[in-house]
Amino acid sequence: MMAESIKELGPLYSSMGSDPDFGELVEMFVEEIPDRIETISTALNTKDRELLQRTAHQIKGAMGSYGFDAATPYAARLEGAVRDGLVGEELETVVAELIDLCNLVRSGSPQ
Amino acid sequence: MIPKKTTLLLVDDDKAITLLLKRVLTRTFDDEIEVVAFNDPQMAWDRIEKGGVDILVTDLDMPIISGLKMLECARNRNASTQAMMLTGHSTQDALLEAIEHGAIDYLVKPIDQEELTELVRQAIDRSKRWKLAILSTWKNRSQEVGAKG
Repeated sequence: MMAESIKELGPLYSSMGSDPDFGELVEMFVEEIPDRIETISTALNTKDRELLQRTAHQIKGAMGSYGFDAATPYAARLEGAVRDGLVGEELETVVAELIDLCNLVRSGSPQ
Repeated sequence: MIPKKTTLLLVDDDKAITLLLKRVLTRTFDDEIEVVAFNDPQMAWDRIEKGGVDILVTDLDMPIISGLKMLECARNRNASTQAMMLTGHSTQDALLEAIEHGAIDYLVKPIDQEELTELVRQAIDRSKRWKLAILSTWKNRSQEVGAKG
């Protein structure tokens, strides 16, 4: 389900964040989120649609697998938008939403 | 007699996925399987060529060498390799081709850990049965040859 406003969601924690077997992996995953965001931004700026679609596809699969279920529909939306040929401001909006969402992702569990 | 640990080859171009799935599988099947993971499909291909892969769990949608090619390679090298595909919804058409090439199952990303371990459990059991059957056939054949000699 997509939120009306991304910020309404607040910080996003993984359902596996406090699991002793997976907490460290979740932390590593969250540390690498900025790299994924950079890849999306670069792909948008250089109009590399293949890279944009592939990165959205990876984020869709990885976020949900790491227990960040709320991120999946935003990544799926970007993947679909690229596939369907969306361009210009419309595409930029979908990219910005996914980036905003990625910036909410946190390791650990709520205090 | 089961010859050795079951070898599971895990291939996905996203390192986050292989790290996570390797941890899930090792936690569940630690004493039963050896998990070998690759993010570079070419390195996974080279590993398959060396032989001894009992189970293949591969992403379908990868650059340069697709999961389908990986599946073909594994099945050509060892026809009893139990292969399952990881996929996003957008690549489900290719699953039909995967089934035609001998894949036993598939998992849709995001990965459900329980579903993964259940399918791998089945694949381990099936792989062990194949190994036993093949061993038994070899034993019978060598006894026949010995009796003739």
